[in-house]
Amino acid sequence: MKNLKKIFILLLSLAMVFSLAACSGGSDEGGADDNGGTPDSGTSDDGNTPDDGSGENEGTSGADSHLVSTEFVTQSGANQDGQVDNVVIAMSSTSVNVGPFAPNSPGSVGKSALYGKLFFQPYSGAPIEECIPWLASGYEQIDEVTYRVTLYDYITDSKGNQITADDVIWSGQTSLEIGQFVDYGAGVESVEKEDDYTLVFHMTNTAPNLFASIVCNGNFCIVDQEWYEGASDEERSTDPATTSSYTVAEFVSGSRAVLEARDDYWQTDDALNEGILPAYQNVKTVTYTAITEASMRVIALQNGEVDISPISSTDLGNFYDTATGENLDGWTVLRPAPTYVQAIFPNMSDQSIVGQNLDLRKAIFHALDAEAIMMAAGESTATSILLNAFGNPLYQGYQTVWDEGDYWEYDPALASEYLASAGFEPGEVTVRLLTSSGLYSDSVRSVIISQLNAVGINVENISVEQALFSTYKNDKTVWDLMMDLKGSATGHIANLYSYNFDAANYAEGQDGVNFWNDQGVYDLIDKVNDDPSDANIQEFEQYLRDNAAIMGLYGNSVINVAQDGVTEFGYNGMLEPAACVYADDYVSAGD
Amino acid sequence: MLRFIGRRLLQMIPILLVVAVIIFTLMELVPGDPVRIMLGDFATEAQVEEERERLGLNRPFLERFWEFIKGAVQLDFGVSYITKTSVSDELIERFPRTLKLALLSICVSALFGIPIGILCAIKANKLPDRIALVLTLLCNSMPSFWLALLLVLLFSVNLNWLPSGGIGGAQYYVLPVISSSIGSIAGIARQTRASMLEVIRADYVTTAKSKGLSQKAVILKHALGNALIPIITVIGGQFSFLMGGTTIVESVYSFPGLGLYIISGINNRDYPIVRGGVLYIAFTFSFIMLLIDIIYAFVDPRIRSQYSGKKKKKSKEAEAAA
Repeated sequence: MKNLKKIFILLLSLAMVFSLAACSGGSDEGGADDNGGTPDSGTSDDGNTPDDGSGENEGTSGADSHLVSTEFVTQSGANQDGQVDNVVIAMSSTSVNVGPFAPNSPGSVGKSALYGKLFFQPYSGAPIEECIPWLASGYEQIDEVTYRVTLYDYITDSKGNQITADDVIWSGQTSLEIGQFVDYGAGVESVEKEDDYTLVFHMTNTAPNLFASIVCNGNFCIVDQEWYEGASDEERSTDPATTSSYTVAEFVSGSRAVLEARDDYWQTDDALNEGILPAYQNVKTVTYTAITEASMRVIALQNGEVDISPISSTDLGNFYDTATGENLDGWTVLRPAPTYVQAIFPNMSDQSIVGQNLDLRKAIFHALDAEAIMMAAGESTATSILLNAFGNPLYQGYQTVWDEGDYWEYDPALASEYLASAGFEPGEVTVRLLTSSGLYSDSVRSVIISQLNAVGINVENISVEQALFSTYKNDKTVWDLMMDLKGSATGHIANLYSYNFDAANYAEGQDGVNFWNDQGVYDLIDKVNDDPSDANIQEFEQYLRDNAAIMGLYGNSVINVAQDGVTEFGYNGMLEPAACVYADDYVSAGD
Repeated sequence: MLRFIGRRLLQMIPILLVVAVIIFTLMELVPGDPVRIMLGDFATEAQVEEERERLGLNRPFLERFWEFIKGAVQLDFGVSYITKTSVSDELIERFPRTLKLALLSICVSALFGIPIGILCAIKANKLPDRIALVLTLLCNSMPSFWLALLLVLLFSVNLNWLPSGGIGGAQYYVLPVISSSIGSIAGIARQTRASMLEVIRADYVTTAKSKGLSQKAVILKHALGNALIPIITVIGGQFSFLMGGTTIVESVYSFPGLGLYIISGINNRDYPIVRGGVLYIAFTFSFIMLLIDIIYAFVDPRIRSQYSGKKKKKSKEAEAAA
């Protein structure tokens, strides 16, 4: 028995030594010594970031971007002399896909570097006047909803096919039909070909930025119809004919894709490439490698196995000192301007106790501390901003006046008063909180639940995985409160309003994102879309507040980290590896 | 033997059919709309309906099931809703990786597990046996994701000897193989010990010893051969499990195997991936079990004689009747 005890002690000691040996020093080594590599752009999205379905165009820096810390990046990148041989970019999904009609997801790599669009948006949500012609040589607005677009007549793909107006029309329609470009169906009435290099777009409405959001959209990948229809599935997904500045050199399903700069890129006039980040070729080959686990991406960075990687906000401390606001030695951190809107939605239908009681909704909103929820999500002022309205300060149309007043001030006493006036004693009412376990941690749910409990509102926690969440949130009988994130496809706040509250965008009887069937809000949507003036936007926001129909919490975005030889990120709302700037002596992780 | 193999192969057909029915029905019942996931929040209901129509999700259950069965017979499991790539192609591409990982892991497990088990049996209730028992218990109890992370931190981050993930040369397999093998080594060692202990006490082993045979000869020639059946069963089970994809290990090491593929399909409600993947697992499991039965026959003459015995018995009966 004594021997057995000794053996146990010995084994446990060995296990502890092994664990400590494995765990020690992990954060100090790695990257700093091994960097030298050059990061190239890379991965676009982290797995837990919101996807508004708009591809590259969500969010945007608008007229009022001064409200965001100047340290946040909205656009950057440059064309540099010389090429770095190779950079390795981590991505969070194993569904690696280089096809033109793959969904915009973390696994869909280098879509902008592979497939040209008609115009390039220098920052998310830029109006068409600021967009740079790419495959298009220019445009002309004929009337409020009609635009004539001309194409260069010398566009060829990587297999030598000529791109014409027919290919553009076919590409947009195919992307729509295949289910990857729903905005195209909603925003484009029709497209006509005037001649081989001229098209006329008829838009469905006059919503602000609509035309730009279509012709610059990341899902509007233009390819040659004849090639696509003649290619096998394998060729489409591993060796596509590309119209942008890179082509696919190697593809390993589920693991990596290597993009190689095209020597025969059709646009040889540097002046016409100026500002189009995906047309830059600062790197000869870009390797996208799948690393699904967030912690493993951090390790890969620290170990010098990748040059650039998206990280979660909770890992930021490994690379960035939030107290001083400086990168830690060995790292360059891209903190993009937060483009998403995290919000609490009350179920406004007659199926919910919350929807039937305005004072109860007010009690809930005053009981919630947005800052505490933001911190619980692992965010900080280095990565996020607190919202003062249902909208992001980056969006065009955002009203600075909102930042001067109170917005659902955290006030438990006032919340208790509203609860009483709602007709409930503390502990008498229970609300069902729906959240996605993939998007939000238990800490976020715990904070919300404890804050509501503190004022006497019981909470039934419905935390489900993302797929189920997508289903439940469209079911008015399942939840009373929902936390979700939203974005604006056009970068204009009017778009945020339309997509969330216009019944036309939802199932019959659903009436908006939170089942709010209200003629007042429908009229205001029309009003804002027809005339997105300050007065109309403020009126809409005020209506939301008067009805306690939604509570904006905080805005955030995806953070990327690079080895410190990356001196500047190529970024326009998406990370562009080919437009990052690298130190002269940069040694890539791939070398 | 050939008749036995043929019969077993035929038996696989109803098994796979039942699996197909179950998985197809289950995916129908699981809440979660693949089209909503695919199109995102901002797709209108009309667009969602249109996509459902395009994918054929609006058609009656039986019609879709029949389409699925027809496709499966031709090894065509359809196209992924999310990635738009052929599920069959993806399974075929990932299969060699998973096979390689599983084979390496099971070989390592057997190479270490069986000798450890034999040693424990020979030294039963002595110090080496107790140490080995505790170690195997420890190995069995360690969560594989935890072990995988520790291995990465030690060999990849601190020592910088091995890559932390991905696929490529042999070095990319080392950590996944160790992570997958540790639990199996423990299982095989414990099973080997138990089987060997039973056999070692048998009369024929005592006889062999009394005849003056060396311990090595007694153990390897007389004892081990007779103890192999349950060990092979355990190895077969472990191998089947590994062939189904070691999801956690694959996830930690970003190893693009079948397990990760199927899990991504489940998360996205990507029905073609899940159906194709589950059918593949069912087939692989059945096939490995068949292989194990065949190996039994090679290892144990008694079983071999059963396979051929019926034939002989029938011919004898026929002769008698004549």
